[in-house]
Amino acid sequence: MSTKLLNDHPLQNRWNDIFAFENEEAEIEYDAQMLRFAFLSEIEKYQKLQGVKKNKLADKIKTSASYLTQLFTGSRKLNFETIAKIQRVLEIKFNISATPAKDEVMIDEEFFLDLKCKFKGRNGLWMWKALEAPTQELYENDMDKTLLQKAVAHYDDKAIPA
Amino acid sequence: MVQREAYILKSSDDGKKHVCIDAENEASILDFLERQKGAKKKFQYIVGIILSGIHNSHLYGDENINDETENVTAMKMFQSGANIRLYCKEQEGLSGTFYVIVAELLPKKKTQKVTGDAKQLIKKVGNYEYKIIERPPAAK
Repeated sequence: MSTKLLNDHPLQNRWNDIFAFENEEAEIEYDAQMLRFAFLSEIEKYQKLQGVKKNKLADKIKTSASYLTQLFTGSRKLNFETIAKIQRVLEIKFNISATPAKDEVMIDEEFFLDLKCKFKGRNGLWMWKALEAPTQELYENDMDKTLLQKAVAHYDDKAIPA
Repeated sequence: MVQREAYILKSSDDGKKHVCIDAENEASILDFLERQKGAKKKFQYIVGIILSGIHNSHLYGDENINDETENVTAMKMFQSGANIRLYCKEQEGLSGTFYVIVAELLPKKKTQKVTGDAKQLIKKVGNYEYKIIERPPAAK
């Protein structure tokens, strides 16, 4: 999320205080809760799709409906054991993926060198640009090829001959 | 429809979603968030899930009671057992930009049911039409 400061207005300053974190620990706590909410969002989606009421879900994972409510409202912290239990009951599977938080990313030197080898004979100053993250399907099936195609296009546009 | 103005408070990283505040009710809503224990943190969470596109009906969801209130939603603050809500209006901009405008505060809602006071407030918000403006400079 990004905050847009409109001007130095007293009310805007009060809003800035509302959205500010007291320290890094508070910011990490917020990020952690957003991750929990992301898992819970998927759980709620499948609960609705399958018509599984909160009471029934609570029974099946041997907890109370009020405990589940507390998880959804953020009063209690969802843990991975509970996620695993809910996965079994709803017969779903979480697919985890990550994307760079910034445009510029650090990449593994070995991977970079391997990529460079595939361009043997093409001299120039190599530059790396973060590209759109591949989909899970592309990643599994064709990541290398896709990245190479994009890298070639980028090389042709941007590389400066030595 | 009642024409009202709102200011952007926070935007999503892609700039396609914005949480805004009703210009007229801004000060009273701020007072509540600053005064009520735990409200600041809960508000941060709710704004976070809206801007991240995370669904959570326990914290934020539809509050439509008839066709005229279909774009009215509620931030469910749940503080001190009083079931406090912030009623919001969802609006779409011309280019598909999505705005959630925090419009009215319902200080206490004793039951899960939509009571008379709440209905009145929901209808009122359903009738609001917002113009998103830049906050004017502070008066000197």
